[in-house]
Amino acid sequence: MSHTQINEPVQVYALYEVVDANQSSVHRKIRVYPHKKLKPLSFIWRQREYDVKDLTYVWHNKKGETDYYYFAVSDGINIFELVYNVKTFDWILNKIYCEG
Amino acid sequence: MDAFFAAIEQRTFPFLRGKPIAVCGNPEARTVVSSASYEAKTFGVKSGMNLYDARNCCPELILVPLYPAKYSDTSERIINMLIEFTDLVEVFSIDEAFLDVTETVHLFGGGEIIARQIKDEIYQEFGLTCSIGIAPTKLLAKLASNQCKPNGLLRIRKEDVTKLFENLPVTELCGIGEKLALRLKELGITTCGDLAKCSINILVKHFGKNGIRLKGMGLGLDPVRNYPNWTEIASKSKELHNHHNVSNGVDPSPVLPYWYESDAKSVGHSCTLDHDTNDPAIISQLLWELSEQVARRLRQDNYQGRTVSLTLRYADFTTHTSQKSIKEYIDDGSRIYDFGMKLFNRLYQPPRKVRLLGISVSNLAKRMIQLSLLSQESKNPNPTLDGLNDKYGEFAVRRSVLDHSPAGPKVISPSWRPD
Repeated sequence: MSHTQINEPVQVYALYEVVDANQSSVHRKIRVYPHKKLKPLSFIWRQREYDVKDLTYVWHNKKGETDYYYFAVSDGINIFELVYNVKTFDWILNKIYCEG
Repeated sequence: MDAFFAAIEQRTFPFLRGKPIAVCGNPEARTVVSSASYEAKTFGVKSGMNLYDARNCCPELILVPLYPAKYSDTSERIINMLIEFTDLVEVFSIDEAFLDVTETVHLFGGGEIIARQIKDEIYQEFGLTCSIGIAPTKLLAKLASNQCKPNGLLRIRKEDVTKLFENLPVTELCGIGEKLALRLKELGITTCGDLAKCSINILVKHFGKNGIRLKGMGLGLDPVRNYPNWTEIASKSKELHNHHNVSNGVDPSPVLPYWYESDAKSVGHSCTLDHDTNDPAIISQLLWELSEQVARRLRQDNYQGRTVSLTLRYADFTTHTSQKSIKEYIDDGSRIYDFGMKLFNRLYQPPRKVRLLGISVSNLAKRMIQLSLLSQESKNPNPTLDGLNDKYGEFAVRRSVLDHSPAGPKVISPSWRPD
């Protein structure tokens, strides 16, 4: 497995699920699975659009006071690591991984 | 969790699923296997193995670099899931936890129902599997979960303990490693049954206070450090074997809630160098990094300490430790470094090559800030630096001497706990 560090801004089309915070079961889901609200569907990088065929893993990291959500997504060939900055609403394509 | 780090990487990268993989530090540098997939384990690859041996066991092994933030976040989310079942969740390590459901089991319909629900939720959310042991003590629960890996569920009942322990090797118990097992073997003790039958006097004679702990472990009790005396053990053992509920407030080692923090005895960091070296600049740089990391953790946890210890391991694995106690309490990286360097110079035998350096501060006390009656501005930069690093991330601002160092530890500490 190899990877390339990209670290470039990308435009991401994402589904933002509106949830009713008054429903306790939903409330719990947000606490345990906060990313469930946000799901990348496609992204444009260097004038090319990539469809997200599979969201393989999601995790969160905090740098100082800023929260970041990391999305490992597949276009069916490679795995792209997209990073969402919760403070600025910016998306970055951080890395591209490929087999071999 | 089953092969936690490796399983997370196999979820992240579908092309790794079903293949022998090992998660490790930088494969180009000196590192060991942190986690091996079950496909790799069938070839004999184990955690802690160096890469040369791991590749010898499995030439097809795929090395995947560690991604600590991914694992710690997953662990925190799993713990959030577990506290829906009880607030008595003791985080044992990044991928292990104990739950005491004594008071909440009736809400869910039984221990096995809770266990199955946890397994289902973890699989649905993360695509990961775990193994769960259900038992009256933590020692037995850990044993049960180890015996049903991967993706298992096993219950050990109190009445099963004597029969189960009869021929069970002592090394199956959490807390008995190879060295201790060898010492026990010298006494003719190879199974847990032997341990249970061994006289407490013999165990105490050979192992001191630990003999009492070992006797308790032989009876299926938790290996807490401070068993008051043998009478206490005997009483707990009697309760265990009389089928009384040892979890009901009389377990000598209760499950500690996830938010409980015991007082730290010491704060330390160590690092194995990428290559053995006797270059003073590299050694000094590493000591600076470790000292700053220790100092930052001390200040974050509001501690100061007055004993600095340095551990030095040479290329041939001979290890030396030295410590120095001082009058005042410190939490500053440069002071820790100064004392660490003095200890290093005392210990070091040039031109031997160094493999590992570690530094720790002990004799801790909660920090007390003495306010000055005179309005002098403080010359201590640490509060300002800590404030900036809290805001912008660990080691975003650091001493110029550390300009080329990576930000913070590169591995997950065994003492990892959720924030």
